[in-house]
Amino acid sequence: MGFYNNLETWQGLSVVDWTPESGPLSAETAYRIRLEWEDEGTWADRFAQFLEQPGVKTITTLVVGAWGALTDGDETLTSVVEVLAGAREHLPALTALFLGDITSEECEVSWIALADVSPLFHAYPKFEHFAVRGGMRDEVGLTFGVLKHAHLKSLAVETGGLAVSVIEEISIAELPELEHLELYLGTERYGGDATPDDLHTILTQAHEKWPKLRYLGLRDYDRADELAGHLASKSSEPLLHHIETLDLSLGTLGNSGATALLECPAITTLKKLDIHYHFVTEATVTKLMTLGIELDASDPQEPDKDGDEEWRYVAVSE
Amino acid sequence: MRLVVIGNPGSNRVGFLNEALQRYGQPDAVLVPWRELIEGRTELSAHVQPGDLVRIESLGRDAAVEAALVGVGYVAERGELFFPARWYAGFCRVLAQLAATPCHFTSAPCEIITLFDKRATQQRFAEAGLTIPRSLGAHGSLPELAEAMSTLGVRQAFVKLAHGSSASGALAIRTDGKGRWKGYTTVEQVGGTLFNSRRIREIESTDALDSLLCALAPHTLHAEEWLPKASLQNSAFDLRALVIGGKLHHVVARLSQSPMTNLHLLNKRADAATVRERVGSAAWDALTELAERAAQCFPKCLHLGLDVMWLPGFRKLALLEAKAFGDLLPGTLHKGKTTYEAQLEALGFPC
Repeated sequence: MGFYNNLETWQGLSVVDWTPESGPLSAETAYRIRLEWEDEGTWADRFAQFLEQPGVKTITTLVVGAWGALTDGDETLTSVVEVLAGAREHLPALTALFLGDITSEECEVSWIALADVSPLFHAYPKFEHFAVRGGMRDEVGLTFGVLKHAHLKSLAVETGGLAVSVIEEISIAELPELEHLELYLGTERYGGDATPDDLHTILTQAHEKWPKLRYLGLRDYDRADELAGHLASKSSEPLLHHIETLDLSLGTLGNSGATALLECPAITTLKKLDIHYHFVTEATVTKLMTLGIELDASDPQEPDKDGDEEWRYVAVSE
Repeated sequence: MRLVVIGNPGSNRVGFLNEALQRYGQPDAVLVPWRELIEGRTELSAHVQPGDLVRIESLGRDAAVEAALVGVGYVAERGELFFPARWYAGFCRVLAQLAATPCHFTSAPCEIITLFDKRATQQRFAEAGLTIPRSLGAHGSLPELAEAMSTLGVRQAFVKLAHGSSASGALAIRTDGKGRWKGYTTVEQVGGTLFNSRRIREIESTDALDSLLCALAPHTLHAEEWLPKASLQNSAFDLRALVIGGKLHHVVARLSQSPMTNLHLLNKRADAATVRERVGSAAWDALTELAERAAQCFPKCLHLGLDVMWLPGFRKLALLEAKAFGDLLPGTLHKGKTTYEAQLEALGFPC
């Protein structure tokens, strides 16, 4: 299981594939640049054509789709990042970038080779929204470097498994405007080697580091029960008081994690708890509904049974 | 005009046909049971009168009919992958006998023979210049398949039975180009026997993938590029597009969160209006043109069920498969008519 949809909207704008036949650009549209089946040329060629369009200076939002050989080869995300960073003067209005709008039909998410994306944050000091999707299993993985950015409001990392190294980089990132932090933690099998202890800085200090944080998503995690235990502890109480939405969706949350949350008084100070795609029983979901906060507990899952053993899979588990 | 149908007594297909006939005030079709024909207990000519139209229906999943066709004298277990190459040989023999009967068929036996060979069908489409996935040939081991994929620069492939239907014996396989492989299949291996399952199994071991390809190889394979499908409602999707009398009629989108979209795998559907709204009129026109051109490749078929897909972005369409019996779409209406009613109308009923 994985990602099935290409983005239809992002950051409030309609996402439209840009092709040389697209016609005049609109500042109210998010353009996706991608290579399609049997397209001639490279992603960089297509992007260069895009940059020649009148009106490109008004574009605020870009989505990067499939860029050719996604798992290796000459045209990797590293070269895409280089080309994007080099285009800074053509894109003075760019504030939002999604890297890797790629579905499971196009590539296993864990096989999408990621890169050092730090040049983008230097090239685009006006960034407000940044998201990246891809894999962590490769030697050359995702890195943000030393992440300091004056305007970034939202950061999302969508993977089948997020490496501890990335969590450490984000934990110490200086992002005074950050409102939305969304991490797909995934499973060890796909490079997600983080334990809840590795999230300690985020769980205990996020509200101090990022005073504007309103949404925290720790999603698609195969240790969601343990994580819920940590969140329900005294040390995360200030964080829960601070944020509005806690998103633990798409993971393996079951009754033990849900019960820990139920018994944590600070949970009721949230506006919304999102656990959709979960393994919590109906009776416990009913109890969560009495917390008096908005709850998304849709898409309940059943564990796979193999004899006496039960297996729970996260949503992005390919 | 009288209709004669070759089918299985009590089957839903014969039932749908007779229901449609009744709606037009016609008597039931004259039924010639497949099993009696295959076992030589009757001949088509004994049932046909001058002026009759003969409709050949699917053989369905009748185990006794399959055993009679294969001629091995035993009845398959439920779901067993049952010598599809020999099944096809038997099917061709019976269809050749039917073709020798002087009568009018709604869809000609020779066309049905071609449509039950995925390689021959794709060849015909390729010659007509229609967009299809590139063929990778037939390969009974992972190294051979890997080489064929590498030669074409393809990272993902579908391996199908040349004579299979309904995702029978299907394997979707992909590589990262650095030695990692991943397969998705409906096939279960139990000892030396292969079974089709409704569950999609994921395989990451190259040994297991190689072993599966070896086990499938004797059943006659066809491998082709696995093109990424566009998405709708948080699923990948393709279409079953039914052409009747040369015109596109019923369209159903088949949504899936696995590489296999076949409806019997409990996948969801979306109707034509939903698809049309999502893809826009230019993409819909392209679909209509492709489907009708595909039907021209089989001019002696009253109806043709096509599996068609858009690539992400809805600008490119590809023709995946064509089915001689691809008209079983209960509940799907086009201009208020079922697939069977629309076919009767194309034949000139009521009359």
